[in-house]
Amino acid sequence: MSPRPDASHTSVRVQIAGHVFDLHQGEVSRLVSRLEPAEIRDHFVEIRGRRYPVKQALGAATGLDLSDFTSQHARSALRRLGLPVGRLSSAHTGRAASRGSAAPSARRNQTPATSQAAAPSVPVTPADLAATLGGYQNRWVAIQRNQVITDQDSFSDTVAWLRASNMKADAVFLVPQDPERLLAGLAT
Amino acid sequence: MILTVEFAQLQMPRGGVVAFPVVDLTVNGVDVAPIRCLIDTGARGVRLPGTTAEAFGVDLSHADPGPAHIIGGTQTRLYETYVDLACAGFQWQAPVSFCVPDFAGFGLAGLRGFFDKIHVGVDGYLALVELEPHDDRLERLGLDATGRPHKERTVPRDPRGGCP
Repeated sequence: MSPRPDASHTSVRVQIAGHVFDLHQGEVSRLVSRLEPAEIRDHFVEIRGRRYPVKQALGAATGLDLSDFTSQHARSALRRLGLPVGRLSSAHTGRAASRGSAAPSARRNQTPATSQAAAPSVPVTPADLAATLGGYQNRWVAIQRNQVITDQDSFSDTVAWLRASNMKADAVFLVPQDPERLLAGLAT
Repeated sequence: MILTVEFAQLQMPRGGVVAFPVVDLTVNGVDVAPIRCLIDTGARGVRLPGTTAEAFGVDLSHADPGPAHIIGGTQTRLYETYVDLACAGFQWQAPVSFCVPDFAGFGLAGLRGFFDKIHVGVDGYLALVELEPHDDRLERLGLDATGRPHKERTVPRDPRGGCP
């Protein structure tokens, strides 16, 4: 599935620290993408192929001091904007990128990135990836440095997303729904 | 070039993790999306999910299906065609079978088309796979194409029996 060209038109109204902001995805992306990403400790948002701490991103978008809001606030606002948010320490959460009800489509619909994703600030191991994949059953995932960079309905959609985003995956595969049964079948 | 790849891991629904050797193969130059393949000495060839064929530029509509196989508990038909494969900095042409319906969302790297091109070392203790094109390996070890040591150059003997 190709990214939707109108995804950057998403707007939300948020109230943070007593101030009301009308945030537009395109404008937020533009503001944030000018910044050098700070160190990601936990939650991140991916903008134009680079990952930023969610608080850095929302701080840049609103001009607020980072101590004025929580990372949960920032995640919520950025997710509502349709931007892909995720968590670096996926081993603790079982998820590398938020999916739930909104994130996969938000990720699919994001404006294609033009550069490679930023390297994770901590090494991510195959075990971390395995813990993450439980949330992607029956989804085609593209992996880069043991992190899921996108999940799609089909292999073709995954290739299209990677091309549109100008990104190369290390590997692409469908996460099995029942790995136990599948591997048992292959072993015989 | 020897490429070292960590085993892939999958969490089992009832707990525990299974690690297994994999190789990520680039098919027909689609290098943005190498397809993950289980390294499988029990597979006679390279098997890929049929639904990946179109993205690799392969049209299966004119290919004849082979006999039915059961792979991973799924009965599937194999459509064999030649594609370009690449890994470990090496590219080669090989017959692969696209399986319809998909037996899984990954491939199997088997004997014909993979093991006959790539030397595979599996270290189950360290959970690593080492991949090296056979041609590179033979050259590195000073072996000829049959795997025997290169013959040392012989100096023709002086027919008069003296030192040359």
